[in-house]
Amino acid sequence: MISPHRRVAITGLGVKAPAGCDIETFWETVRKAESVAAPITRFDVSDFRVRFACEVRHFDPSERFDYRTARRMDRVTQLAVAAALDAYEDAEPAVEDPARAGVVFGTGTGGIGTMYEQVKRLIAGGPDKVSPLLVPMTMSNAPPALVSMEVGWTGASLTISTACASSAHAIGHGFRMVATGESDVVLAGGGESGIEIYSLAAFSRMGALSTRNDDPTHASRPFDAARDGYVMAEGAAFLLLEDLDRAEHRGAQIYAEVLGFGQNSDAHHITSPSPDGSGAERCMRAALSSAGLVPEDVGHVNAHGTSTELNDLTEGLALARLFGDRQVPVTASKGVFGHLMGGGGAAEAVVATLSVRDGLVPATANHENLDPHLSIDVVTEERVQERPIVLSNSFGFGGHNASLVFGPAPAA
Amino acid sequence: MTKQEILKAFQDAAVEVLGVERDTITPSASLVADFEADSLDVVEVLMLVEEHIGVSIPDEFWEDVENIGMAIDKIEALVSSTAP
Repeated sequence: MISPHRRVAITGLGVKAPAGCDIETFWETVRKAESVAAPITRFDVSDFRVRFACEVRHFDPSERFDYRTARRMDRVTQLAVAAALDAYEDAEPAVEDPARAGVVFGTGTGGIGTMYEQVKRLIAGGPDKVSPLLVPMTMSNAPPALVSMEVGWTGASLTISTACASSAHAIGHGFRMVATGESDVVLAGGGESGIEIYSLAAFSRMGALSTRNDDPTHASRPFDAARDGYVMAEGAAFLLLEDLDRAEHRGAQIYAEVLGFGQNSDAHHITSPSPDGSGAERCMRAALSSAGLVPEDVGHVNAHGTSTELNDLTEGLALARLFGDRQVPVTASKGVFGHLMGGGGAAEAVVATLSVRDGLVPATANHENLDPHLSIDVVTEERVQERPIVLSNSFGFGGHNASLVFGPAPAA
Repeated sequence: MTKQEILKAFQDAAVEVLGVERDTITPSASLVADFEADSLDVVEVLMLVEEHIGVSIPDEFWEDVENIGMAIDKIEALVSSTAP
């Protein structure tokens, strides 16, 4: 448990995601609770056993970057830097001392599309055919490096990589940087460009993805009895985290407050979660503890809810144990926009933040029949939020767990 | 291979890598001084030039080259000396 000295406000949001490339479009799409999955258009998928995903369809890098800058970025970096700049401009943070402003990014792999193209060149033409941009375009720290350069901030700038928990860890780390006084403002988020030949082949071979090619919009089914895997998504999301006193002093908009962060490890298996969900449960308890809260305070959970057999089963068991007899509303945004992997925690943190702002619980798309092994309250119609606290989970391959706690902005 | 063909290769490469206007790539132009190319850009441009003209050029070759015209002269000499 940490003892934060300062409270942490969320004063800016940015998304480049399948549900939308601006915050209000994103939020409207999430609230409709309809999946945006569709056949993949980015490359020929005729040989693939999985041929659909949640692509970012309305993102034009030239709206944000000049030709040369965009060309030197992998797609994950384009999405991430654009989302970060949106959050920055949304908050207008007016930083006086750039050394007290940082960037924390979460991603699973980095520039995997560029890696694939350059490996093809290496094999076809030999070592001298590899681009000199291979390293700066594929390193997983390229996005935060470029965000720092774009905004001119000289505080810490780093990437955290914990598979599908990466960006929740990034937000948690950014929260601590502000809470402990290291930084006054931090752009924290994450992204992934997983809809690439390499990644799609790899995750298909694991059997992790839904194969509902004939019905993509019903494929991502969190906690549903008929789920058959997750739906690949791409995209990025960022939050601008700020010392609450500073935000109030400058009259900034405050969407919500980050109240706590928990992190731990299953120490169990390289891809499977601990079978009884004990790692997830301990993580959620740690997050609530760090916020000085108890399970009874939680209004709803934005679950990791991937629509895979094992995640939803183990997370559901953990939720049931955490809340006991009380049925806490559970929503899972991946029903709408699929699994952004390294970017998922941040995209769902944006959902949790807006849920707090608007006092509601968004519905879970495609949840029809609860897995018979579970006893949890999955939200299928939008509800009014009865208690203002939201707990958001992200769990990654390798047993990396992260939970974030969000609460309302202080009354003005 | 003519100087004009080699210049065209530089123009194609610079347009692709740097996004500059084709007619700004002249023999007196310098990628670094005139277009703020960094070392990574220069390597990319030269890789593409090699591909366009179908000649492999060692890295040391470029050390005393100050502008595109000098590069064209050296490439022309290299190609003619190695021609069958």
